[in-house]
Amino acid sequence: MLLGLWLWAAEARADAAYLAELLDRADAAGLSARRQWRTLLHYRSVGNAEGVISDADDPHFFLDPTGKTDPRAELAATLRAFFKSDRVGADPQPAQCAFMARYQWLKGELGFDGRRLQPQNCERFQHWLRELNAESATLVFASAYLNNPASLFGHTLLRLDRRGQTEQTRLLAYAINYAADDSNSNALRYAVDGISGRFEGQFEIQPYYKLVRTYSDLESRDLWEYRLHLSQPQFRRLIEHVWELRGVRFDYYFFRENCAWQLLTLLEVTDPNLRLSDKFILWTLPADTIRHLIRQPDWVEEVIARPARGTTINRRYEALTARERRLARRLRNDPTIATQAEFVRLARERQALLLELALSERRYSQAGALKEGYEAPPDGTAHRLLIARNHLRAVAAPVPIEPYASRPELGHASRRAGIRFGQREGVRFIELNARASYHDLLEPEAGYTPDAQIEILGIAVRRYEDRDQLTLNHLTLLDITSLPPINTLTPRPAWRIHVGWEPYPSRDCFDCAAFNISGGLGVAGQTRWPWRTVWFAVPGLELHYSSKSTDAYRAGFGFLGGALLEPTARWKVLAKAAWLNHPFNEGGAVLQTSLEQNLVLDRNLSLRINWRYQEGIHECEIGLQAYF
Amino acid sequence: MKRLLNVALIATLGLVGGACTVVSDPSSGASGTTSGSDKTTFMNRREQITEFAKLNLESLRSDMAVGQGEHLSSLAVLLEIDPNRQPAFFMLARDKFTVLFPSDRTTAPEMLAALKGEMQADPRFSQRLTLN
Repeated sequence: MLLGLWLWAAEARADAAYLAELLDRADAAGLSARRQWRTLLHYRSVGNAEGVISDADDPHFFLDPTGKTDPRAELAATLRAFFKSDRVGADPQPAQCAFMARYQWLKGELGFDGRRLQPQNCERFQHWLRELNAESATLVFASAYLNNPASLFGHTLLRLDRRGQTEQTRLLAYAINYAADDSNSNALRYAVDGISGRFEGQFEIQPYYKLVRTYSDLESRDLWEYRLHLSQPQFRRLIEHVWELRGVRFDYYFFRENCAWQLLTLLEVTDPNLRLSDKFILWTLPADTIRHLIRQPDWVEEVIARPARGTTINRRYEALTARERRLARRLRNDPTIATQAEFVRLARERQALLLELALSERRYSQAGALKEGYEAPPDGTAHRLLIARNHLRAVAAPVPIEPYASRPELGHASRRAGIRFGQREGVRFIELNARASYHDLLEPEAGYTPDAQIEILGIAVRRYEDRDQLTLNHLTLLDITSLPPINTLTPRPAWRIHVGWEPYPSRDCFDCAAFNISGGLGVAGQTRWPWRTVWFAVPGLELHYSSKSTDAYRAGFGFLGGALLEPTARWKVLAKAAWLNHPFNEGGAVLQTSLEQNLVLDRNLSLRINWRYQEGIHECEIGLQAYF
Repeated sequence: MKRLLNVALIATLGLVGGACTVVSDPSSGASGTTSGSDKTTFMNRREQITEFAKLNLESLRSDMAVGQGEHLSSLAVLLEIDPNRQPAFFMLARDKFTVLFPSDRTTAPEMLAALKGEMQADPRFSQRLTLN
């Protein structure tokens, strides 16, 4: 027993000596200040150049009580923990296993002597690695989903591609999805909780097929897959870091520390020279992160589209003749159509196409119910259609399926600033304007959801030649307009919502702006001759408030109608008329009309020419706007 | 009016802020791994097959009726069917479609049980069957 005690004491002395040596060498090499250590611990600079804080908000992620703000203390505690077999971390296990990426990096930097610091057997990590069976990574962008406020700007996730995977089997890959848990919030607190970081975010690992089902099948969002070019050591570090992030809690902030931001910080561990997250200071939009990532040299190998179910349905429908469309609509609810002479006369591949289209459409119409539950409800009609399709031994006629939402990096940047010159009732003005994000109807659709507008925090101030002061022309807090052209197969309404101050000139108040909340629900349709034009009619409710008006507020209903013309890919024209009736308080009707044009000069530069009329006041302007 | 402006501002910020998905999907989280606190253990292969079939039953119905598609290809990989034999597996699924899906109420476990029976009866697949 004495011998045992003596051996234990000798071993402890040896460990202490080696630990002291490693600590000295780590200090001498300045490892705790290295970029790699900072990225592994998710440190970012605060205040002065010396101060840092980790984005991780889970004490299990740190081995020193001051680890969140002290990289040096955390590194020392980490080295100390590597000599022990105590279970630590969010998924308790010995430190060498719990913090695999840190262990491997420090081992590489300090050249651990395996006899003096025994490597632990991390069987669970090895099993996890075997099950993932991953060899490369793909960043996936899910396009905007206008029916859910939380998905207006898209979403990004990281897929870990398996060895031997093909496009036909990529569903089986696992994906890393950073998501917040809002289950403890409610409708009233939702915005405040999201802004103040009260949601808890975590990296989740899920099969890709689950995410495809949610985003592509149920929400009908086109996906773009960016296969990343990572060396094997880089990919290995990424995987090891994902392992140590499991179960670690981060405070989730809507604006900046959201899914797109967290994926950037995750990717930064692969290369100490990579500075992705630094660019995003106030807010992080998924599409902006894709644009930023694609600019990194040699980072993206290839880009693959994964059209949504709704896209596939619409593209196939567009490829049908008028007679086939009629048949498809009837077939959807009546499988006996497949036995009628008119149908049977079609070529077999056209019959197959119509049957598949009818089936897809039936499933698409059940998406709402499927989101709530797990399995699809029984559908006898769909079953009969399937049997008809099964008996038809032919491949459906091929139809190219181009996603509606094009690649985000092909579009203009989302921030905008501009200058305009014009006159209102003969009084000349100069206007400076800026918009925080994102896209309006007149801007080219490349990279954005077609026929949709989302504008956030836009401001314009003017200086009229006959006044000494700047005047607020508009301050948009939020403006969303969605004008999906209706088709009989997948009808969706047009809608709009606006919150902010907008111009409200009159004979009494030449440069007035009024606070406006308005919204409406209507319909849009499209024609293609002589060029694509989206026609829309959106009735709705209006509330105006202005302290300069005779009465402070006007409330009533309105009707917005117009046309969005696209003569060329670079030139769009928006003609609209709004009729507003204010039976409450200040009575009377108001007519607003406008004709606006946008001419693209370059991807991030365009020319805007506008004319407007309201309550006898005419205005015209011309200006340039740049995107950055 | 001030109160109205505040409400509008908060509503706006709430809408603005959701720069990516906030997940409250009840089926998320426990899918890639077994449920519970242990987040490292993946489901075993049989559980994975059942989970995949349950969640993608409608897509599998469509793929099996036609004898092709990414969901059917993925099921073949989960079933560890040799790539050389996958075309034959796809044809088997198509030819036996009405056996695998006798009605619109056929559930994923019922379809898998029927598939197991058909594969056992076929010498090309009976040697190595992950569904066992």
